[in-house]
Amino acid sequence: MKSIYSVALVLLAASVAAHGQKIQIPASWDKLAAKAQEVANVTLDKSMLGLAAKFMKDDNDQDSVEVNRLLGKLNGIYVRHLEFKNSGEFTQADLEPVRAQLQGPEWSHVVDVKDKNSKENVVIYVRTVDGKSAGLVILAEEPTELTFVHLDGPIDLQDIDRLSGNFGIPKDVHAPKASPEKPKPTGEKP
Amino acid sequence: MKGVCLLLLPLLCARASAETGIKTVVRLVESRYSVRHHGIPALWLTKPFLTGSGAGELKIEEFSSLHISASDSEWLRQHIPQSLGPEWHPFVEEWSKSKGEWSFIYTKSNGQHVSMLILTSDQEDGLTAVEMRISDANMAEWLDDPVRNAKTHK
Repeated sequence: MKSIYSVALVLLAASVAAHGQKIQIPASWDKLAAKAQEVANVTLDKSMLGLAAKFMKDDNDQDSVEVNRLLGKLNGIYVRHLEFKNSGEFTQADLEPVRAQLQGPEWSHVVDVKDKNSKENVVIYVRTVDGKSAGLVILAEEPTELTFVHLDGPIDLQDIDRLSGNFGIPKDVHAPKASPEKPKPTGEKP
Repeated sequence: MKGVCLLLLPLLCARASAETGIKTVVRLVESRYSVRHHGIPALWLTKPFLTGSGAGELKIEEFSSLHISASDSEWLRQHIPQSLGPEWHPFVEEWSKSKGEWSFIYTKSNGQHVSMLILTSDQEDGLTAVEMRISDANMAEWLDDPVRNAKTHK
């Protein structure tokens, strides 16, 4: 009986540890949302993705088949979008708690695209566990807009193109055209 | 046989009382804001059109005199999921301070059908709660662009 408890305890601890690695929307995002004029949150958890795969399936359409394959692998899609009335209503310090969650040995900062004309900045972070992709986060910043997308589960950078424009993911979020720089860990093991 | 029925009765009652949906939300709004809802007269007339579209089981309750601003909707955003319980999943939350509008959308699936619960509020019509079973085609449309659909639903 004692061994059953031990096994259960180990499984519980593993589950808690695994959960701890996941991105949660930090409280500071809610503070930013309180300042924003327009807010949109889309949440598609595993069960919703299962439904999405069922409803969007079209065997005659190769894109649809590919999207279905992706949806079947993901654990969740979380999109948070904020629009502000004026530029300067959020600062880099406001975004720091969000970026802080993407520090650590599992996270790599793989893409950082800055457009000087539109003043747009898109950063993509990839999570790798045991050498395998386990999710990615896109943080897109414009003077009056902020978008946070978390694709939880095994996904490649190139798959972003298949999902952008659907499920609340902005259309203008794309995988980088050039080969991305080699992933660099964003932080050291605590 | 009688014994089996007696055993099943509490289970069925418990299931019925545990089922949440539009009534749960209406009760929450009524108790929070001390208001009374009203239904839509002759809603049953829409049934043939809904059946044709694949949707069904439409329920609508209105609080036309209740105006909750986007900033004040936070309390509902926090408490509605707690009241609905785990069978309902938050799907879309969107609000606009400039327009004074907001909507929160939840979904539930029993494996065969998907139900959607929509709470929407604007300056003109007040607060409206809608629960319906939606068709596969409609669900695909919602998933295609959830935010735009949430906005145009109003």
